[in-house]
Amino acid sequence: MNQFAVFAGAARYEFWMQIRRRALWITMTLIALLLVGLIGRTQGAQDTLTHLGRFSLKTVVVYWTNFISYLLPIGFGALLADRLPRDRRTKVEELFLSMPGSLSSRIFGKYLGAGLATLIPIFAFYLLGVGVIVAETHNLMAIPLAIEAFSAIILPGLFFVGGFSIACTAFLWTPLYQFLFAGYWFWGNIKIRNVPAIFDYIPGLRPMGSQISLGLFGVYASGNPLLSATPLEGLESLLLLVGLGLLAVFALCQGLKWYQAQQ
Amino acid sequence: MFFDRIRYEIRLMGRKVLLTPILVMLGVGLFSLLLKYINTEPSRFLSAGLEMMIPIGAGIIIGTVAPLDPSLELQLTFPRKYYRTAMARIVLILLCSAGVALLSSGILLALKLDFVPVVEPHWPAFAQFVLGLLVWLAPLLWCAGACLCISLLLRSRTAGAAVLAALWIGEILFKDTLIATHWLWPIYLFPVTLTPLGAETLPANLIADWFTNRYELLGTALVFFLLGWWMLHNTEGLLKGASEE
Repeated sequence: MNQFAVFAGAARYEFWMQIRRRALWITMTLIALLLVGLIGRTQGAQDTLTHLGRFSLKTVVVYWTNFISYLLPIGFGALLADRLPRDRRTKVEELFLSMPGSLSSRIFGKYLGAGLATLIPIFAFYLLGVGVIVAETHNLMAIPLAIEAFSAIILPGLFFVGGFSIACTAFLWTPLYQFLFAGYWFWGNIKIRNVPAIFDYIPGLRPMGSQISLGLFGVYASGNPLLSATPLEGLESLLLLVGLGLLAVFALCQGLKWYQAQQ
Repeated sequence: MFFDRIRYEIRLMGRKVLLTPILVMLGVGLFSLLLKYINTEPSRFLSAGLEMMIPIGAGIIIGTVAPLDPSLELQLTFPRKYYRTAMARIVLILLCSAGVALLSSGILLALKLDFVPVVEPHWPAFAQFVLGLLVWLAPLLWCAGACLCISLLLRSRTAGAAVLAALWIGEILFKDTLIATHWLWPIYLFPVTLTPLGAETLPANLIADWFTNRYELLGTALVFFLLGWWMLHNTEGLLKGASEE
């Protein structure tokens, strides 16, 4: 059986199933509103996003991209976390196992399809902000710059988050994973006094994209202990996040195959 | 009969529901040992375990467990209404989380590792105990009530967890904004851990605000639970939620 067809079919099916979820749109809207409400009251953000003329176009666009990557990936991870357990809950897993399509194609299809659908509300909200920037600055160059910033800063983090959200829920109870994920997002991105964080040891492992943002664009939005990063370090962080996300899904496929073989 | 029912509900929910707060505090304790090893004072982190981590854990679990039961359709045909079963489960999870938090705060107090900045040294011991209780009880009830309501309102357990987690991270990331904006204090959930303090005692003018904040959180939590209880009566909504996910 053509495995690409299985992959494409799974991706298409998961995409439509996820994009039609009412919860996806409402959750992302609520998180976006929370973000806008908090940004609107934060002094540094207000200065940059409301006095657009004072800052370079790159600074404003990358600032906005950074704000998006603060909270919306949490919704992304949480909404992907129930995709694999759902197959088990609705008892379709056994049905899938009896089909000739390979497990890897189906899991990677799920990862891509559900991930792409969950990305759409985030991208739509991001484009709204970019639209405001274009309207205020009358500079259409903001659009390609925004797409570049989104692809470089937000997408690698989402690859990482999506991969682990799909993989970890194969063996972790979904609410427990969601709790651990929220804790990780805090611990893995923000430096709290002298509490050791994972990025102290693996500097590129910052899924919020701070190292990529500083390394490739020279801008980062919040009071961050990371003061500088070279373009090479930015690239290293990007590749690390994408690689680890894919590796998590690959490991899941191998783990499930092994588990099946044991049965 | 009553205890049989409790035992039965615990077995139905699974031990993972009750073990989660214990595992959370064990994880916090182990990480604190690491902090001690690298000469960092762990008391504030331990307090964060009580004030921030147990509430979000309980919130996500309640938002997941209460709106859905594997045998929901059968449950809805029983003379005992589902909202009563769901509320019993919520109370059990809350009691377990509160028990773990209470035990942990007692251990921290005994080891002199507690971090409670709102201390009135001249108050009697019982009042001091209630003060310590308010540190974690108010956010625990608030997070549990909020996640229950969001899950039921959006008919999605994942949505409840996602919004609560985003709110939790938002509180940490934008803590300065929350502290500076007085009208946002009713949703400032974790002031003990997040408010930067020079000393371990809050300035006198902030103590009144802290108490007001606790009462507001408890009041809002009560409203959330009443709303949740009302929404649990909506059997059609519960069934739709089960099929929509």
